[in-house]
Amino acid sequence: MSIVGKKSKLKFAVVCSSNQNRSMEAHNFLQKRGFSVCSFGSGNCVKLPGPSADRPNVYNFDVSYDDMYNDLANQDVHLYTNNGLLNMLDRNRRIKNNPERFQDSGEPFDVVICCEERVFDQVIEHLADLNSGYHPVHVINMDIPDNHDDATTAAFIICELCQKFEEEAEHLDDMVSDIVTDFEDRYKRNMLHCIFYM
Amino acid sequence: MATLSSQEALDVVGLVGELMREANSMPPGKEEARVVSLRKAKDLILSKIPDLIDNFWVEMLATRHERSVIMIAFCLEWIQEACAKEPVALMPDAIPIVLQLMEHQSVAVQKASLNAAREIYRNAFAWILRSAKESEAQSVWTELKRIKDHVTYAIGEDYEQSHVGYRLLSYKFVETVITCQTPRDSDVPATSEDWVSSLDFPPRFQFQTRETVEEEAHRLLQTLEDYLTSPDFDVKYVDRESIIGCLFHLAKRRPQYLGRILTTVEFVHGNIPESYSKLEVEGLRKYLKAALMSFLRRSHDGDVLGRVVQLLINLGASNTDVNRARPKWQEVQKRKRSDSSSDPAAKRVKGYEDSRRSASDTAVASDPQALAVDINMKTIVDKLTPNNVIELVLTNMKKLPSTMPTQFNATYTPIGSGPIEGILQHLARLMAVQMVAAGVGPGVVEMNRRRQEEMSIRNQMDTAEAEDNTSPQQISSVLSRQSSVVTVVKSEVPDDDDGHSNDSADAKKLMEEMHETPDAYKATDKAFRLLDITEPIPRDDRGNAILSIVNEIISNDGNVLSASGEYLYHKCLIRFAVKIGLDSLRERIMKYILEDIGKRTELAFRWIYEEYAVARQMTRDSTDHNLDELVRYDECLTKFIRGFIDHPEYREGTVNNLYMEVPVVTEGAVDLLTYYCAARSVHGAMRLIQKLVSSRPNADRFIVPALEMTLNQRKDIQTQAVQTCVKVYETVPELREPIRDFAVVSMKLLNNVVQPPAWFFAEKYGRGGKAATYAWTEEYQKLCTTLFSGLLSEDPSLLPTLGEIYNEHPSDVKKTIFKVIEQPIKSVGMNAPEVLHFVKSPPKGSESLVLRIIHLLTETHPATPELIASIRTLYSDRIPDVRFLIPILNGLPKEDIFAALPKLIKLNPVLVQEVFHRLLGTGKHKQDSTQRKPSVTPAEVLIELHKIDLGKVDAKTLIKATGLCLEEKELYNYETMVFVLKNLVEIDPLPFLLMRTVLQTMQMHNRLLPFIMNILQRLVEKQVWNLPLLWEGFVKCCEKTVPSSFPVILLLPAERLLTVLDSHPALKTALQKHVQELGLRQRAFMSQKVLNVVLTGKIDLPQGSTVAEENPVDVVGVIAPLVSQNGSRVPLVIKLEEEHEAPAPIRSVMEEDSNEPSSRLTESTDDSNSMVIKQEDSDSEEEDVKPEISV
Repeated sequence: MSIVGKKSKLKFAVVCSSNQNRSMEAHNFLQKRGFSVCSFGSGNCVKLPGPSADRPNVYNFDVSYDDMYNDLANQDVHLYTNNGLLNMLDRNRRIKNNPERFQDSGEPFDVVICCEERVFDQVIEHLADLNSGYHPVHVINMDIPDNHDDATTAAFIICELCQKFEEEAEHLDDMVSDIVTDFEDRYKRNMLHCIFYM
Repeated sequence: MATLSSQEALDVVGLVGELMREANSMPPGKEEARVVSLRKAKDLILSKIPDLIDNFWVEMLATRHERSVIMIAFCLEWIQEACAKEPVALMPDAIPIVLQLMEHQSVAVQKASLNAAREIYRNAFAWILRSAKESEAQSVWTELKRIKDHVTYAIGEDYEQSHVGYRLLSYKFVETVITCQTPRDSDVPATSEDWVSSLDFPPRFQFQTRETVEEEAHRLLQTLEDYLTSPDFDVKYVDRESIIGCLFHLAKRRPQYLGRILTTVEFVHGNIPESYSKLEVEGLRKYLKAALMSFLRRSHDGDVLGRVVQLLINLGASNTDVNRARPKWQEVQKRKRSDSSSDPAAKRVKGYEDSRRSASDTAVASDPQALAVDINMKTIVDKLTPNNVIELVLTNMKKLPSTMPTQFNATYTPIGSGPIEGILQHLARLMAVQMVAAGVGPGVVEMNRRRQEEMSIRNQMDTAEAEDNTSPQQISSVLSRQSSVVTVVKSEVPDDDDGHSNDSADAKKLMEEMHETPDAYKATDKAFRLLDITEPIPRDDRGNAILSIVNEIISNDGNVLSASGEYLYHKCLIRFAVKIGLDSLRERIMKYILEDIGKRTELAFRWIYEEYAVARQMTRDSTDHNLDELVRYDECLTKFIRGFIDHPEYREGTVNNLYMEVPVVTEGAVDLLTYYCAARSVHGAMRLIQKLVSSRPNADRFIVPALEMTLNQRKDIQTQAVQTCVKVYETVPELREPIRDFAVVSMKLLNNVVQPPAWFFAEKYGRGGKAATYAWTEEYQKLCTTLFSGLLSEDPSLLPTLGEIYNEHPSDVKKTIFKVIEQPIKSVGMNAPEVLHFVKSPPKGSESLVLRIIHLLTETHPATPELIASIRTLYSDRIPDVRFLIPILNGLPKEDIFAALPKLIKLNPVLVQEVFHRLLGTGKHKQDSTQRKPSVTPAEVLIELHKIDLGKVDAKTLIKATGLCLEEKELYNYETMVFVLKNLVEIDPLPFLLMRTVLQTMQMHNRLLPFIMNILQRLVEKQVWNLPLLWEGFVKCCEKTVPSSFPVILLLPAERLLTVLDSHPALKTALQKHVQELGLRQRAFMSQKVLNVVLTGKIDLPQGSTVAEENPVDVVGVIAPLVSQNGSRVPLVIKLEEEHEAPAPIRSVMEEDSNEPSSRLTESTDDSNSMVIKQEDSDSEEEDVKPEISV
């Protein structure tokens, strides 16, 4: 399940709400396998769990992972090591500098994979707003619970999905809905698919 | 560009040349680098010296032949950009290449070429807007049209062939075309992206005007919308989403279409195909929601926003979502609500009109579907009250499926809280959309009308265009069309001020036009109901009233006809007749029709058909299949038939048509055929039956009346019926069985000896039905057999059946059958293989029938060899009854005849007579015998009769038989008899009938006397006295032939002579006298003993006493020459000389002319067909005679 050695024909984007856990896990995974991939968040800001549920850590998208890491480490190393946040940020900062917001990126993609329905809604709302280009883009949603284990499992599935798309790159537009339906059945996950122009 | 100095220009050219060389020198596999170089060169050319395009055009285009997609993409890039600069010169070259690349095997190239085409289109259109020369603009437009036609053709038409990627881009292309060819909002400042619009279309151009260009755009928009709203589930959600995306994008830039597009989207939302999967449905809804949200954020049109919000809420958006997108929305709404009129419907329509008006200030087209939804909604919203909505829900609750469909689950969104009017309005809109999709409601009627109108206008346009493409008339026609449409719109859309009242009036009118509005939509206003206060009119009064109406219509038929036309008039009358179950009414109309059947037949037919249609309807609706729904149809049909038959202006054709053209001929109508036959026209009815049988299904039903009529008492009917049945039997193979069965059944009626069955006297057979006459008569018997005999003459294969039936019949019936089969058997003839087979192996017990048949067959014609062979087989193998042989006697070989002869003559006298007639060719077979020579001659027959042993046949029979033969004097002439007798004498032992025959011959032919003497003499030689039977005859013969027989008598030995003379004293006296008269010489020939006997009556005289004068005895003997079997029949007279000389050789008296009789006989052979007798030569004669003479 890899296209290492070949050039990726398609451009993928993986979007979650804060561009931290699910999208970055998939980004990491896909990148290692040679896909041309970007990751994004779709929320207004980056939210990370805080000391309690009503006190999350909130950052702007332009804050780098490194800064976040240091910030949290300063707050409570023990807590954030135990809940895996530091570990996650450490991985993230090795992939790219800072989280990105999908709505701020003007890049055209072939496939955008969203990790949550709310994210999907935001993405397509943005694309519908835009919808001015001439390049078809497929937006796909796959619900992934926001925890480390599920993110890891989902990364495999996303990778497989991208692999399929890559194989059918020539006729992507025709094949997407079939592939998605197939995955929906196979992994028993609710999925969504829309098409826009970018 | 112009600022470039010549030196700079040269440098640029050099640079470009170098770049090109560089690119061309690169090896395959380095396409990317090549493209980089080429792109540089391209940029240089286009930016610095556009004049160079021409020089490098072809060279650059060559890249399209490369295999690499990148190279081809570059080529398209080049074309696209170059065309933007020099569309006039380059496009004719470029467009075919682009179109060609659209069919390229690589999907990427196809997409790239579509993208290029889109850009080319926009650039070129922009160029047209700025161009000064019309001719150039026109040529560019022509090219654009080519590319446009090519791409748009695929939409909807070519769906199966194209792939999604291509389609997605073609929607974008169409969007671009529409954007270009529609006016931009003049208030909104033109961005670089959007400025290209029809608003700037140069008004001076003749080849196209702004209107025509926009017209085309509207058409394309309609195409997209039609495709989007198509209920066909083959249109994938991806396509629908893309088109919606394009439409919204268009709406952003051309807000005037927003209302229209929203309607389309509402429609799509309300009619998502059920076959879509959950993924597809949800995707589509999400898409709609996202697109609408984006709109909500941007749009400023308050009324449109209201609809958008409503749609969003339907799609499951929460108020929070709406608020987030447009924080002040709800406040605005509240304010508006308090401002606006209390009638929400009017507001709704007004809003719609507003949006429409903004759209229609430049465009003529309006979306008919939106209008239809609106009209429907308007109609519904007035009728909805909270109460009847609840009622609606309750009544429809029953129709809900037991499990919730996934479709519903995916699409259901609860209706939010809000003011009642708002909810009702929303509900009305939802229902209106669905009604339009289902094609019901006044809106649909209006929509169709508009579409038709538009179509006809377009057709007019097309013709006008075809007539003269550039004439100014075209413009005026377009203008006038526009104005006319506008007036139509105006007349339907009332002014804002009094919109309310007009609207409701409109709505009422529309309600009336609604043909199939479901009951649920109808008003349920309880305040006043006409039905509640009206009392039903008593049935009789109602009937009378209707009857008088019909009477009125009928009595004024001339006026009504001319006013309403035949069709309506007929329809009206028939509706009365059929729908209102009033007998008097039906009778009245029936009477009316029958008053003038010439003109009103059509009406009758319509009525019958209407009845039939009603009956069919009943069959479909009713679950009870036993219900005889055709009762009324039958009643109507039979009444008409009867009426037509009894009508004084009866015409066969009318009745025929009635039978032939009605949908179903009922039993009642079939029964009427008998009546038709009896009461009106036998021939007509029979012809009709034949037609019915050959052209209507279930033919067996129609033959039944004809079959029954074959037993009818009336001779003419019966004969015709039989003829018809036989004809049908010949022509319609399927009906053979029923006809044959009926024939057999009627034949079998005869098996009942006592009387025919009771039904035989039923009224329909026309026999009066009196119990007293319930008995067979010969006439009845014949009646029952006629059909069968008729069939028999057509189909001899019925013979075995006849044989079987015959066998069971009582004997008197058999006689009847003998009579009736005469005709058919004769017409079948003896050559039919069935006949031969039947003769060969008849069923048991039907021998007499076979005999009868054989007789019939041979009565007039001689039997054929085949028949003879068949009969012989029958005779030899199965039934050795000689009677079978009689008819074919002549055809049998001689041996067979002779073998059968003893048996034949034992039959009863009539038959024996017949046998001889046939054998001899006499009596009624005289004719026969001339055609066919019997194998035996009369002489042979007679001889054969004599040969028959007395042990086989008693003497009496034989005597009779020979007697019968000899009665035919013509045949048995003297010559024949001579032959016969000669032969008979030769038979050993002598036939006992010999003397009888001799005597008879003598009686017949006196001239044969000498010959007979001769015979007698031979008999003497054969010692006839030893045969008692013959001896008696011999003596009798001698007695009769006195005196000629004296010499013969004298030849008898003395002892015999003595007994003869003793018993016949007369003879004795005569003989004595004769002897005494003889001369001495003659006496000398006689023995003493004989002399003694004659003269003294004693054989031995006492010694010494002699008879007076002794020798010589003078005897004159007449001796018939006795010859061999084949010998002469010519009598010979032998004369002894008086002198004592040796007797001269006996000469035949007829020796001289011995040849003559021979020839004569040969001639006569032909005439009499009798026999050939050879003349015997004289030598043998002499030999035979000599011993006698030497005595």
